Amino acid sequence: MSALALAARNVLRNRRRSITTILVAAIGCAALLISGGFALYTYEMLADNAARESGHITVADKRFFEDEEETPAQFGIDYPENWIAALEHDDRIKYVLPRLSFSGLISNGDKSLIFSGLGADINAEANVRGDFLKGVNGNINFDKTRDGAPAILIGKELARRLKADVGSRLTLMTKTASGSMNAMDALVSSIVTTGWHEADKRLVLLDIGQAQRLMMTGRISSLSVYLSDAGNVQGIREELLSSGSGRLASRLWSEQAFYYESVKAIYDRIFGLLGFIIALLVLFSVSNTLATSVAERTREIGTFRALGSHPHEIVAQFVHEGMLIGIAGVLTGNLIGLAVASSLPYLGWEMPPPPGRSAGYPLLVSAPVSLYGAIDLLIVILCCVAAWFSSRKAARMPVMEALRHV
Amino acid sequence: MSRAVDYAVHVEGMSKYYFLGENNICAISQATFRIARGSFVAFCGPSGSGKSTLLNVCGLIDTFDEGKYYLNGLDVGSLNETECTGIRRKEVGFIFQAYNLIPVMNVFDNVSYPLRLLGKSKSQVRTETLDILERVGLSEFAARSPEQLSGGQRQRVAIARALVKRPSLVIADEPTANLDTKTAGMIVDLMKDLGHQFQATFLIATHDERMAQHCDRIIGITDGVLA
Repeated sequence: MSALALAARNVLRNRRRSITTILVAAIGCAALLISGGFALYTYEMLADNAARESGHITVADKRFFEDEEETPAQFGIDYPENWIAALEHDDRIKYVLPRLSFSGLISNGDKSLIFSGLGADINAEANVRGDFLKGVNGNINFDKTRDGAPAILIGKELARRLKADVGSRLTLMTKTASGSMNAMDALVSSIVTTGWHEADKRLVLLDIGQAQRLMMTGRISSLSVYLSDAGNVQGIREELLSSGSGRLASRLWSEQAFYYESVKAIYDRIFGLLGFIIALLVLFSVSNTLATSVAERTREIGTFRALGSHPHEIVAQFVHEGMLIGIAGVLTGNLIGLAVASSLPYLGWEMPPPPGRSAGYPLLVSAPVSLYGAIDLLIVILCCVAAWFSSRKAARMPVMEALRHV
Repeated sequence: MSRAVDYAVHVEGMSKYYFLGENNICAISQATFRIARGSFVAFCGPSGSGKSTLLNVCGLIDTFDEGKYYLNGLDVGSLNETECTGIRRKEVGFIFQAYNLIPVMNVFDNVSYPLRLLGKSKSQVRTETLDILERVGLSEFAARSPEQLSGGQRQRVAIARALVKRPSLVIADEPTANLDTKTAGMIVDLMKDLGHQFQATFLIATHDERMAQHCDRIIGITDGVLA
């Protein structure tokens, strides 16, 4: 009889107890899979948001990333169309979106507020940002001008504070590239939300050509590069750097995603602690039930020892049992985890908005093979450790003491 | 003068104490005896006389406090637990009063367990196990669980398990205590027969005078003192 067959028979010896132990391992496994899957989904969602906002790679003048501009487009890129044409030639690149960032005051005649402006190809921006740039009253269909005036999109909160609506006429005032002041009347084409409360309080979007005219410059601030497959972002970035002139630099989305990094750091700690507690619960629950089994079989342990088994061989026998319990537990736990992961999209449950966001997000959990593999391995190891922990003392007990055990 | 190596068991001035609080109970007192190889020896005495303790010490599953013990000429008093386990694995077979068969193993697996501990090949394990089962008359019961056997059959399985590895020493502690007279007689005859076939030294603890009559030698023991 092999060690595994003997372990299987011992596991089946007290079925009710073994099923309880397996269920403890299964519930622990499922809890880790679901909480880990939820954390991963949240990270993916935040990463997607960050990448949609900045592009997978941002290309700009080196000083744009390092210094503060005193005037708009001070560190901008000249003749951006050459760069755009060169980048769009690469099949791996899906979009190259020029952006011109600026700020100033926006006024409805009675009230002036600070805005954070972005000149861009608005329809393309709406396309790549998806849910992270959507019209409050439906889809964004942006025309550069409306009733002969430049058209703008404004954030939901900014519109509320300015009592502006679609068709409202507002005045934008900003510094030009040379440092003088300039103003422009514009019509609100659409009211939008990014899902971020703070961004919606200041956001103004307009066509990049109109923005350049307002700032009296032909430059742009940066190029946002969106890739067809984000998996090779580092390699493409290195190619971009090697082929570009020395003046330009690039940043990955992850290097600019400060919110993503801070949320991930918090969630890592929260879910790490949760995982640690669940792992401890599994360890102690399985240890407890296996300890009962060891106590009941102490005389058997004495018999094995008398026949010439070394303590480590006795412990190995119980570790095999722990391993089988762990494997049965993770198989059951995986089924529970997969059932939850696959049913959540149909339930349509929403999570409340995370800190700083104005919109919630769907309650979904990711189910990557790597997560399942790692957690399955952890649970099986925990069960083996529990078995080792429970049996080591009995295995080292003097033979006569074990044989006399009642 | 005879040397320790000439005997299977050579005990010289052995004492063992149990320490219960401030009271020391002497379980074996200055025991000295020699057992020739292949002997079938009974230790007789009433309950609590120390015969089981003496056999457990001889079987290396218990320790002693004073004296010397040579097993096949080897001074086992100086060995550590790991070394004693190694000797038990190769040299010592046990037959317990309560059989001590493993309930999750069938007869074949119970009997073959000591061979697997010795690392024998599958074919060797199979051949030697079936051989000993044939000798104890249980070859047709190989696939049965111990729970499906009578007391006498279980003890025969225990005898097969003790002898399958051809040990030099077999310790049998009250092997017939749980059996009726007729079955007990058959078990004693079987042990003696196999002991002779395998040249194994049998040390048997019993308080049954009738069983002792079957043995080559009887050593009396009372209150830890050998007669």
